[in-house]
This record gives sequence, C-alpha cells and structure tokens, in this order.
Amino acid sequence: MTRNRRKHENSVRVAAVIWWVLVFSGLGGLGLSYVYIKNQTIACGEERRKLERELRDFSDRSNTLQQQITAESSRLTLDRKLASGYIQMIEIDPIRIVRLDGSNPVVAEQNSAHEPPQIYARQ
Amino acid sequence: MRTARSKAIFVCVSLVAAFSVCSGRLIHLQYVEHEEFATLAAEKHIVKIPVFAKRGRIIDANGEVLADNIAVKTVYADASHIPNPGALRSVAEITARQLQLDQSAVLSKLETGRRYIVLKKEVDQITSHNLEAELGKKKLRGIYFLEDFHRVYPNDDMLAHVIGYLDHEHRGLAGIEKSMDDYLQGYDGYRYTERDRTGREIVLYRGQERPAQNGYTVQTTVQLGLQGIIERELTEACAKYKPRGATIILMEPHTGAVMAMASWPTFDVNNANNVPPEVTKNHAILDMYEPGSTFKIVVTSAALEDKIVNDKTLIYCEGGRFSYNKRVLRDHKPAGNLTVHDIIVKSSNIGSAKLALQMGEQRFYEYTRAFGFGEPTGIDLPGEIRGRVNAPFGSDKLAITRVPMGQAVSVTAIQMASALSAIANGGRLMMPQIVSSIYSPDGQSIARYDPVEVRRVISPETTQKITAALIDVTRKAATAAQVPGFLVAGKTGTAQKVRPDGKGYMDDRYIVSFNGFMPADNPKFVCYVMVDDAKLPGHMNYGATVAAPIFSKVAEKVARQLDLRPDPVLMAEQLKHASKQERD
Repeated sequence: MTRNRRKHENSVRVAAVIWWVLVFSGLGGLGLSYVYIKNQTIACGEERRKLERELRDFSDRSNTLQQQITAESSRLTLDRKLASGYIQMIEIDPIRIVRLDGSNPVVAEQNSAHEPPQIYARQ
Repeated sequence: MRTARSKAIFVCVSLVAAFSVCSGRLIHLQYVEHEEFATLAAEKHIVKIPVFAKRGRIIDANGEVLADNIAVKTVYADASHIPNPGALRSVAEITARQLQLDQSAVLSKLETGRRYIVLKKEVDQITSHNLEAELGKKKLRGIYFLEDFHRVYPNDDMLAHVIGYLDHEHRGLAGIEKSMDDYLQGYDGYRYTERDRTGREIVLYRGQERPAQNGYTVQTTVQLGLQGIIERELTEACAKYKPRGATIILMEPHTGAVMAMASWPTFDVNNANNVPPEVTKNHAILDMYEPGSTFKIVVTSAALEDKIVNDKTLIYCEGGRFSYNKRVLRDHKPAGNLTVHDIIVKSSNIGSAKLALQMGEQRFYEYTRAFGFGEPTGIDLPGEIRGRVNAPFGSDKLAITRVPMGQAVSVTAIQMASALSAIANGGRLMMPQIVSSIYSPDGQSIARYDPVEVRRVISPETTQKITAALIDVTRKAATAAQVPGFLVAGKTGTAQKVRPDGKGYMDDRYIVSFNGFMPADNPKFVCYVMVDDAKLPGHMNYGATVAAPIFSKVAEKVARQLDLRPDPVLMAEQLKHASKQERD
C-alpha cells in the first residue's frame, strides 16, 4: 500500500476507543460503586436499627427485672413475708458479733463461758 | 440540500431550546425555590422523635430504693402513614382493643390526619409487644412506640409523705419528688430522622440528635429500718387511740439529719392521685398547733442563759393559782416554791409564766425566735409553714404568761424536734436535713449536703441544766417514757385544741406530745411524738399517758437498730425502782 493511499484510509483509532471505553467504564464503575455503597449503608443502617431495638428490648427487660428485684427485696415485701412466716429471722448470737468500735463484749463473755449471752431485749 | 440543512438547524435549535427550558426550570427549582421545596420534603419525611430522660431514683441513707422507674411505652400514631379509610378503621379497631380505649375516639383522632397523636401513655411492655405484633401481622402501619418510664414506689405507703409523688406530666407534686425535681427530672433528648413510605426509620438520614440526660439519684438521710419502726408504732398507736392525726419525727441532734419522719393517716404513693389531699399532707411540716408544755424548755433555757435565774433559784408558784391581768392561771399540781429545775419536772405553768415575766416580753420573744419558732426550718421539703409567734406577742396582754406554757403560739412538729435537738447537742440550732447527697446516673457524687448550723442558741452549760431537768421528767413524771438501760431526757405536752373559729378551746380535745432524746448523756437521736385528738376521756388524754409510751417503744427499738448498748447498772436500778413502785 502506497503512502498516499494509506493516508486517506479511515483507520480505527484503537487507542482513542480504548481510552473512551476506559473512561466510561470507570464512570460506570464509579456509579455502580456509589449505588452499591449506598445500598450497603442503608443495609447497615437497617441492621443498626434492628440492633438498637434489640438492645432497647434487652434494656427494658433488664429494667423490668431490676424493678421486680427491687420490689421483691423491698422492706415492705420482706416485712410482709416475715409476718406471714414465709421467711424467718434468726437472732445473731451476741458472741458472734464483732464490733469495730472496740466495745466488743466477746472477751468478757468468752471468759464467762457458762453464762448465757446477753440479749438486748425488753424483758 | 439547503432545505435539509435548514431542517437540521431547526431541529438542533428546537432541541437546544427545549433542553434550555428544562435546564432553566431545574436551575429555578434548585436555587430559587430550593428552600420552599426542601421544607416541604422535610415536613413530609423528617420527624422529630423525643427521647425521654429517665427520672432519677430516690434512695435512703443505706441505699435502699424508695422511688424507681419501670420501662413503659408511649403509643402514638402518625395518621399520614395510614393509607386509606379501611386501614384507618382496622388500625383504630386493633389499637383500641389492645390498649383498652374507646374505638370511636381513636378513629376520630386518626381521622385528623395529624402526624403525632398520642394515644396512650405508660403502656406496659407486654401490651405494646402484642399491639406491634398484631399490626405487623396484618401489615398495618402508622402506630409507633416511644420509650418512657413509669414511677414506682416499692414500699407503697412507707415514708409516703416525705417521698411525695408526681403528676401526669412526671413533675414532682409533693415531698422530695417536688423539692428535688430539678435534680430528679433530667432532660429529654430528641432525634431528627426520616422515615420511608412504610414508616420505618431510615437510619442513614438521621439528622440532629441530642441524647436524653437521665435524672440524678437523690439520697435521703432517712433510714428505712428506723422508718419501719416508727411507722409500725404509729399505726399501732393510731389503731388504739383513733386520733385525728399523729406524727413521729426521729432526728440526729448533732447534724439535724432526719432519720425518720411519719405522719398518720398515710397513703399508698403508687396511688396518690386518688387520695384526698388532706391525707397526703405531711403533718410534720404543714400543720401548726399549740405545743403545750413541751414549749417550757424555751422559757427555762432562756431564763438560765440570761442568768436571770439559776437552776436552784426558787420561784413562788402561788399555790397553783396565779392571777395576772384579771385572768387566773392554774397549775395542774399546786405548788409553793419551785426551783427552775422543778418547774420543768413538775411542768408548772405559773413558774414558766413568772420566768417569762422576769425576762420581759422582748427578750423572751428573741429567744423564742432563736430556737427557730416563727420561721421555716429550711428542711428540703416543699411548703413548710413558719408557725406563728406574734411579735412581741401583739395586743394580747396575757400572751407573756401563756406563750411560756405553749399557748398563743403555734409550731410545727419539725420545729419542736429541731428545738430539742439544740438542747441535746449543746446549744446549736441545726437546720433539719432530709437530703444527704446527689449522685449522677453513673454513680458519681455531685453534691453533698453538710450539716448547717443556723445559730448558737444557748451555751452548753445551760443545756446541761435543762437536760438534767428533762431526765428527771422521765424519772419522776413521765415514767412511761423510760427505756430499760438508757437514760432518757424529755418533756411531755398536753395542749387543748383551739376552736376552729379561734375563740377559746374545745372541751376534752387535746393535742398530746412527747419530745425526748436518748441516751441523755450522749444523745444519738431526738424523737418527737405528737398525737392529735386521741379518742380518750379527758382525764386519760395526756402527753405522759399517750405520747410517752409511744416514745418509749420507739426509742427502745431504735436503740437496738442503732446498736446502742444499754447500761446494765441503770437497767437494774430501773427494775428495782419499778418493783418498789409496784409494791407501794
């Protein structure tokens, strides 16, 4: 093929085509990535919402149980249980009480081991 | 050829013009009308969701819970999310049934089309779950749930008057709930968010957010163990005497800390809104009355402090009948000469009046005020009244003889306990305290309420002399106030009730009281007992016969609770004395 003929031929400019294909692919890819990431974010948001709700339910349950424990261990309830005989109180032997203020009667009572322990109740 | 070119140019120009118009419109929408449409879109999709703060707890001195919260839901509707009348009716039917509401009322609310309609507050967890599940099953939307809290008081009527209660808006109405409302309340938060067309929140589009700040925990000075003791004794006494009302206060004299405070009748705080207002009244701080002989400690302390007399000075008590300003003053037990000590022990009205006359009106008035009468004590409870002390006893010419014996003066129970605390602690008037500390929700200490000395009223020497006399009161007069193994100091009071019209006194209607502290040589607590109008014949209705025994029972149990150790020698002496009296 002569030089003149080659000059007038419609050649396919491969490099330019590839360039534009790459540019559009890149743009397309970016667009798809944007959509994908947005979907992912929405999915994560949904997941977060569910987890938050789950956490709130746990917190509510914990709160309810805590409140039940408070109610069951309240002085009023314990007094009622004590009155009904459901629970009982056992008097602590004074000899088993250690007072940290130094007024401990244990030594004296141990010395007089045969004497009954002193009980501070109205006779 | 030229025609084809013209056509092409025409098409191009048309296209350019069309696209330019579209572009122009878009630019107009984006820039000129942006605000308007953005607001419209926001109104349609963005919602502000409140995040409720959790109210702080109230605990006693040992950390026992007095007021707590339970998680509940506020159910609200967004009517714009309910697409058609059929769905509207179904939602109304299900919601009304589950929440036990009137269906037509719910329907009419939904028909307003508003976006935030509160249907019911304080819905328990199970009901809200059931409602949500049923709506979900039928694919209905438009009903939403907000986290909220319901106030609960685990001890029902215990300490009811002190704790107080809330209104429907969760604002304190009485007691500590009211006085400490700013600390307990916390701050509600909010969150701006968007919902999709099904009404679900789109987390991605969450906007401005402010978390709720939960309320602080308030710790009281009250010890529930001691509170239980005084309430049991109060209930027992009220069942026996059937009074109009009664009050017991237990106070730590050196700090002014209120260890227990109870009024009768009482009420269940969980149900406070259905109780008559009179019952919810804290009589310890909201009722004033003439105190009777318990007030004699004021005039005797004042006279001793001003050195007008000493405890051995003899005062002539006129044989039990003293005429002053054309009115006759009588003593319960006629006496001749009495020392100041004996004026207290024998509760002489004439002796007290003569001490006040020697002091003069102005000086006695100053001491009365110095002991804290005629002004609120400053306790952290709402609505405390000041009592009444006329300055200096006004136009009533007899007041100088009547006030020393506790007439023509009105006091509150907390003032009486506070005044005796000043005697018990060596002469310092302490401000009564009911709150000891404030804690943040994570347990950090925010504030600590230290004891506050209001003023020094009398010297320790004077208090010793008064204490000696008060000990003799329980040894010789009000023996029912004694506690085995302990030295008790105290004074009885029996005051006739004033007529409602203020003219004179009612027959056979008394307010009886006992104001004492224990152990007298090293006071650990002051206990004030007041019984208003016990249903007893007049000759049996005295401070010594009604209030003193209540004091004794309370004091004995309190001593055990506080691990105070009885003196065996004193106990033996008391037993010996009691058996001797029995023999006689």
